[in-house]
Order: sequence, then structure tokens, then C-alpha cells
Amino acid sequence: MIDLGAAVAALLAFLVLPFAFVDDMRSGLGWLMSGRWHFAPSVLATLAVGFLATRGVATAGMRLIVATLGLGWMIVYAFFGDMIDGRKLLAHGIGAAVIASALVLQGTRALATLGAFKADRWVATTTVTILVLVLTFVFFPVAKVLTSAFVDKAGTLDMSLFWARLTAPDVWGIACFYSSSACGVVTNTVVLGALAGLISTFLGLAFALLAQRGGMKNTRIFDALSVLPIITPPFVIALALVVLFGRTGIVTTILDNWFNIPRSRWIYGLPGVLIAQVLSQTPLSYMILRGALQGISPSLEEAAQTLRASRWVTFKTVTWPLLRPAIAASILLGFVESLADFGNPLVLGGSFEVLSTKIFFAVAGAQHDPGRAAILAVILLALTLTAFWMQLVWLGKKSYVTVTGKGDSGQPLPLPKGVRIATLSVVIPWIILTILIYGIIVVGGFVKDIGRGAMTPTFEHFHTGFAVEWTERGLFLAGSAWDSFNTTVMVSAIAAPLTTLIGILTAYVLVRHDFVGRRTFEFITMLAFAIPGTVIGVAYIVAFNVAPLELTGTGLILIICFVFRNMPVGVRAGIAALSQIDKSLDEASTTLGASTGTTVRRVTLPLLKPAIIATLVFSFVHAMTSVSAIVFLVTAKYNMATAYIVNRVDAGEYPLAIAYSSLLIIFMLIVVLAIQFFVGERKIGRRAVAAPVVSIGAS
Amino acid sequence: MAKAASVEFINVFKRYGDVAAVRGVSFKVEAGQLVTLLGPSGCGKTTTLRLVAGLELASEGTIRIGNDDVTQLGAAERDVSMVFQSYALFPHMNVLDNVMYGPLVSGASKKDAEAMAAEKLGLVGLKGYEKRLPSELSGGQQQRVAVARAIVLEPSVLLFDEPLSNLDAKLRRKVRDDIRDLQSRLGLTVLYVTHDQEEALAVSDKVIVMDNAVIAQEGTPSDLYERPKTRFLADFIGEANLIDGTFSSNAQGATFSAHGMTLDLGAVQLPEHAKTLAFRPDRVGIAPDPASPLAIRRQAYIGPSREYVIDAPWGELLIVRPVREPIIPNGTAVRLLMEPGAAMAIPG
Repeated sequence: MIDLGAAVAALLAFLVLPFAFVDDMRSGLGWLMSGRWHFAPSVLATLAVGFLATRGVATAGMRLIVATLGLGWMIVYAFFGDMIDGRKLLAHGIGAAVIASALVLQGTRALATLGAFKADRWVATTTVTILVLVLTFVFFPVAKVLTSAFVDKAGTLDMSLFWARLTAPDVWGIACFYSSSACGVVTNTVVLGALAGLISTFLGLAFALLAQRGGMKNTRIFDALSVLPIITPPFVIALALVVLFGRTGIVTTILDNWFNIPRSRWIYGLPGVLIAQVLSQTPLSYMILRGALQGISPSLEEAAQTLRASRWVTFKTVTWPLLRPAIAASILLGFVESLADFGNPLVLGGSFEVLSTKIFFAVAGAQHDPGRAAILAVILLALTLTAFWMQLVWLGKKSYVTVTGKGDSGQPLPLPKGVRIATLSVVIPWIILTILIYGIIVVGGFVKDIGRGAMTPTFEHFHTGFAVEWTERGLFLAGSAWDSFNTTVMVSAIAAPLTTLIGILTAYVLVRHDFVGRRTFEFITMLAFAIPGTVIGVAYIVAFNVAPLELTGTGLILIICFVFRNMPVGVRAGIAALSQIDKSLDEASTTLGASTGTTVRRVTLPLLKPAIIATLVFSFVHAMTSVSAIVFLVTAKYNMATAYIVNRVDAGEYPLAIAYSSLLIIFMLIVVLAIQFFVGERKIGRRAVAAPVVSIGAS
Repeated sequence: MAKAASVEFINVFKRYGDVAAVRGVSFKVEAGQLVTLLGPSGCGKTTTLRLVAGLELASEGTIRIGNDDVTQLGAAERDVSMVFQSYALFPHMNVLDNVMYGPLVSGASKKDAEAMAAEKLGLVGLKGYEKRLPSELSGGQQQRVAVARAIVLEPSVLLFDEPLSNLDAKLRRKVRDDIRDLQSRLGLTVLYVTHDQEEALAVSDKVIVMDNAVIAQEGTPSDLYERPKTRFLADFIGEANLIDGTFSSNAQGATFSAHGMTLDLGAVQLPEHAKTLAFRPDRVGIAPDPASPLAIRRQAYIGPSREYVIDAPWGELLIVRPVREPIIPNGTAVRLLMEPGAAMAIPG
């Protein structure tokens, strides 16, 4: 039935829906009548498969062949049609998408009928659909970037040009270590990343130790501080730093007036970018390390103490070694995040160039050299992948996390006195700095020009951005920022559920089903984790600017970009949640006669609810705040809040930028709280810990 | 529940890559019988159980339930239910919803499903607990909910995967008897996996012992205990003393000699290539004999009986005697007195 339905849908799409995307509304039939017959065979293929499916299981092999041929022909014509019939390539549209989906669905079902995916059609369809989407919207564009790094502006292969671009002195130079001239962009990026990873981990560790072992009654302030960066657009911290420490900044002015310390531009460059990145990364390190500390069973430390180890010796010989994997993970994450960061270097970098900004200027700047952007993107990608690879190899076998499901009594060891004092002396100034920064953001929108010390209260900035007027035609959003704000909310609201759906389904298929090719599937989705936003941005421009998938300039490309940028988070949350849910729950449902679909709907999804909500919130918030990829993709028609703010910063309109940022932060806080309020937590056990039934498991 | 069906394996293999978890296994469980699969961990017993459930599909061979070939059917399509080791109760549903789940997903109306669930909950003695969440029940109660959920669809075959392993020792005995009771009352076909040999002997009509992916021996509990076919079985089920040596038979019966010592075994059936003598510690008496090379090293009083550890030229022997027999002091040289039928000759 489903196969036949797909065929009918494909036929309808062929007859009615516009086949091409942008300007031409002709359907597949319309094109056929004007002499372009090349879409007809694929539709005929879906019809044939739909018919064959009514003839039972025996036709599965035939169906697979026909569907593959139909789809193969579609792809060949889409990319090489100009060589076949000498006409311009078409930008494929919704009609083509429906036909292609029908063929994928039919082919997959035939494949499952033949025994692949353990004959489970639901798993087969889900897996292949996700795979096709990831290949189209992650791997295809990235591959296109990789190839464009090897060609010149005319599009011919040029290895010497590639080599010249790769070895340019402004890429790899290390002159800054021994002379006053600048280093290459790769050197800058790596040094910045390493420092950001190390320092944020150090700070995160201090926070975690204090929260978990410092004998503090109330660690709420730590948790509150750790949520802030998640809802803060990445460059906002940079903005606040400029306001505080820039040449006319508040702190700079105070130091100049009171202590005669001369004004300087030290904040622009490595120090500023580093501080901004460490500020946003420290909370993440804190969460990783606090989790790891919680995972260390107190009885291990008690065991060490009963063996006569002092507090300090216990810390050194038991606690610290058990923490090491988490520390390495935190450093690597800090490194990778720093590499991917675009907003902070853009605002604070000055003449200190890193890969992500240099890529942006190679595309958007005056030099406009996509080939150069491509090669830098390749280097950035290689660096990130290396870090991920290291994490895999290095940490793969070294997880000591001890989640037993048994109640573990015992008290965690308090910190040795010296360590406690040391952590406090690091943590307290840091908290003050953080509060100062958010204070700036809150106040900055309401005063004349905080960057120049003009502190007259005013609503002027909010008025410019968000004025609302009553006219005879009703409410009119007169403020200059409304367009970008509305687009952002809409795009994020559409992208978030899609992200969650794809991410959680991927996790489900990965954790719960074993099939030939599962490892490859896992590898491909994991690899998508590693690609920095800037690379994706460049890749989307390179790949989706031309037929057959011409998407740039549309709102759709923004949604697609967010879905595949944030999907990994859903996958991770899903995998983490699913591995806490014993597989026998699924099996119990199956032995009671439920199909896979029913099991997912009635057992797995309800248990995954917390992970689903977390992913929804995260992907919404992340879509609202991200800059790196979408800054390449926005247009005048579809502008996004962050891109708008970046432009204000570029134009020196700091107060408006700050006002807009604070509004964004408050909006997201409200959304997050509202979701939590309405969805709530469902009671699964009366105990606070996960119900033991779930965690017993392993047989 | 008249529809209990037999289960038959015909030369079934299950391979994971190069490793076979089940290698050429054939057996039959008659309708209405309780059969246990017993073996050390990793022997393939759980895989066999999952093959019956349809949670794994056989790589080769045929599986029949009743008269139907179910080899290619998935778990949802087989009329088989399972009680999981972890119970696998859905933590987000209360007791009633858990038990109703089966009928509901098979298309029964809510009212029917509720009636079926209530009946089975009564059967396992959990009336009044319908609204509780699994996390609000004790381990024993959770186990009974799992049983109620498994029998609610009145399956032709009911499977138990180590159902007692999460219970404490006292409770284990009671639940074991409850399961046996329920099984015989409802006439269920039950296949039961355990690694505890005492549990297996106590509940089963028939025991299938698996070792290393194949069936080592199958038979009634007394068959297995009294006539083990291999060294592994003699040692795995109950305690046994094992001595390698040579057997010879004459008109009066058989004798066994090893390490310069000869034992009269009385009437005993010698298999071909008999090489090892096995006997249970409580089936052999001891008497002081200064000429014997065996001597008591130590002894322990354990209530109903006394355990002697005896030094022998090949190692040591364990002998268990009732406490009413006179105490023999440590260091005494003793000889063995075989009770009739105590000796088991095992091929090498």
C-alpha cells in the first residue's frame, strides 16, 4: 500500500507541482510538453514499483533495481543534464523532491524485503532517509568545497595554484614568536585554540571542585552562570569586553583617570578573543568536569582513606587519575569550539586573524576569492577532524565513569585546604567578571552610549530597533530590527522540531538496531559533528548557489543549515538517554506483539521525553544565537538577528547591538522557561535517581 | 489456556560473524512441560531462549512452535511471551498499564484489555496494586507484574530468562515454587533459563544442559544427577569427586584402580572407554584402615552432616557423612566404602 501511495504521490507531483525551484512554475508535465522529457522515466519507475509491490514479496529484487535506476537517472540528469542534451541545468524544486523521496522510500522498502536491515522496513526507511539527507546537506557541500580548493576561478584543475595557496606565508608563518611581524593564520588559530582549551578547563575544574567538594551549601549561582552562555549569542561577550576594556571603555577610563595607566588597544587581538572564548567555554568545561566528579563513587575515595591515604594523597592518587579523561575531553572541546568560533574574533580580532574570520573575508570581503576560502576551510576542517580523531583514539578506551544504578552511600571527600583556597581565589574574580559583563549587557541597551561612557538613560536604541506604531491599518512594526527578529524566530521555530526529530531518530536507529552498515552510518553522522560552522557556511554557498540544488537566497537554506548544524546535539542527547534505557524494554514490547513503530511510539519516545525537550530547547536557542554558518547565507530578505547585530557592530552602533542582544537573551529565557513550565517533568519513579528497573539491565 | 504448544529445535545454528553462539542444537519441549536450559555463562542458553522468542533469528536450522515453522518470524509475530531478567517493566506506565500493554497493542478494546489484565493480576496476587508505578514496588512484586504481563495474552510458550537472579535467597525459593505452581495450574509450556543447577533440578520436568554452544546432555533432573555423561556434567551438577584410572569388569561387577589402589564398584554399567570414576560425596562411607594411602586432613561440622577433606595420592576427596556416625579424628588413614549404585563411570 505504501509503495503504491508513494507512486501516486510522485505522479501527482509530476502533474501538478512546480518541478523547478525558483522562477519557473512549470510542472514535470509542463516541461514534458515543452520537449524536456527527462523527468518522465523516473515517474514511470515509481509507478512500476508501486504496481510490482502489489504482486507480493517475490518482486522485491525487481523493485529495488527499478527504483535504483529511476533515482540514478534523476541524479545523473540533475548534475550532468547539460552534457546530455546541451540545455542549462535546472534548479530542482518541490516536484523533483517528491519524486526522489518516493523512489528512495520504495527502494528502501524493497531492500528491507530482501532481508537488509534485519527485514525491518521501519528501520530501513528511517536509516536511509537520514542517510540521504546527511549526504545531501552535509557531505555533498563539504565535498564540493574540497574540490573547489583544487581549481582556479575558471574552474579548471590547477594543482600548482592549490599548492601556492596552501603554502602561502600568511597561512603557516610563525614569525611572531621571534620577531615583531605577524604569524600565519593557522598558527594564530592553533595557539588561540590551545590556550582557550587549557584555560577554560582549568577554570572549569576550579568551579567543579568547589561546587562538588568545596563544602558550599548553595551552588545555584554556579548553575545559573553555566546556563548563561548557552543563551548568549557568541559575540555579545566580545561586545561587553570592548565596552569594558576598549580604548574608551569603562575600566580603561577609570584606570586612566585614577592610576594614570595609559589607554591602549590591548583588548583587540589575542588577549581579547581569548578572554571572550574562555568566558563562554568555562561553563561547558564546568558541566563536563562536574559530571565526571559526580561519577566518581565516594566509596573509592573512602577505600583509599581506610588504606591510610591522607586527603591530599587520596586526591592525587584516586580522584585526579579518575578525572583525567574528562579533563582531556574538556580541553579538546575547548580547542574545537575556539576553532569554530566566529563572532568573537570578528569583533575583537583586530589584526589578529584566525581561520574562521579569514574564510569569511575571503568570501565576503573585497578580495572575493572562494578558492582561497575553500583551502582555508579545508585546513580548518582538517584541524577539527584531527582533534576529534585524537579524542576518539585517546579517550575511546579510557572511560572510568561508574554508573552502577546501585545507591552509593558515602561522602565525597572535601577538598584539601590549599586546593580550596586556590580554587576560591580563581573562581571569585571570574564570577565578578562574568557578572560585570552581563551587567553591561543589561544596562547598555538603556543608556546613551555605554561604549563612550555616556550614561544618560534612554529608550532610543529600543525605539530604533523595535518601535511599534499604531496606524490606520493596524499594528505596524516600525523598528529596523523587527524583520530580522521575526525571521529568526520563525526559522528557529521551524528548524527546532525538525532537528529534534532527525537527531533523536538517528540516535534510536544507532543504539537500538543492528544492521549491515551500521558502523558506517554511525561514522557518517559523527563526522557531521566535526565540521565547523564557517566551513558549512562556505560549503553551502559553493554547493547550493547553482543548479540542481539552488537554494541560496531562500529561507529554506537557513532552516536546512540549522537542522544539520544542530542535529548532532539531538543525536548525542538521544544516545545518552537511550543507553540509560535497557534494551529489554523494547524487546518486552516486541514479544507482546507490538511492531517497531508501536514500540517507538508507546515505549521509547515517552521515556526519551527529557532528551527530546532538551534537544528542542537547545536547537531553538542555538538557531537563535548562531552566527558562523548563517552569516554567509543571510540576504536582505531573510536576515537573521545575529547577522543584523554583527552588521551594527561593524558600523560602530554598539548601543543598538547591545540592546538587541539583551532583548534576544530575555526572549530566549522566556521561551526556555515556558517550555519547561508547559511540558514539565514526568514522574517515572518516586526516587530522585533513575528508577532501578531501567538501569539494572545488562544480562 | 488450552493452547500450550510444543517447541522444537532442529539443528539450529546462530552465528555472529565467525563465532557461533549456538551450534547445531536440537531438542523438543512437549506442550505443557517446564524445561530448563542450564549452563555456565556464555554457553548459549540465553541465545537459545531469544531464538525461541524471535528476538534473534536463526542462521541455520528450523524452529517449530506447535506445528508451525516459525524460523523466519519476528518476535511480534510469534505467540511467545517472555519474562526478562531485568523484568523490563515500562517505568512510565503503572502496573495496570504495563499488563494491559499486550492486549492493547494487539488491538483489543480498552475495556477487554483491562479485564484481561485484572484477571492476571489477581492470579499473581497483585490485586490493589494497579495504580502503582514499577518503581514503587519491591523486587518480588515487580517480578510478579512481569509474569502477569507475560501471561496476559495466554501465549503458547512462556519464556523465563533467569527470573530469580535479582531476588534474595529466601524469596528465590518461594518465587520458584510460585512459578512452578502457576505453570502446572495453567498447563503452560515454559522454557526457563538459569545458571543455578539447584534451581533447575527443583523446577523442571526436563533439563537441557548447554556447554560451549552445544547441548551437553538433556534428561530428567534425576537422569542428570545420577547418570552424567561427561566429566563436565558430573562436576557442574552437584558436587562430585573425580578420579582418573582404569576400569575392569568381572563376574561380580566392576573394579576401578588408580594410583596403586583398587576399589570394588559392585554392579555398575561401564560405558565404552570408561576412564574417570565419579561419585557424590554423600554416597560413599569411610572406615579407618591403617593400610590405606588415604588420610583425613580436616573436617567441618555443618549441621545435618560432617564434611571430611581427605588427602589422596591424586589430590583430595570430599566425603559428607551424617552427624550421627562416629567422628573419625584428623590424620586417620581411611578406606572408601562404595554404596551400591554410587559409582558413576565416565568416558574420558
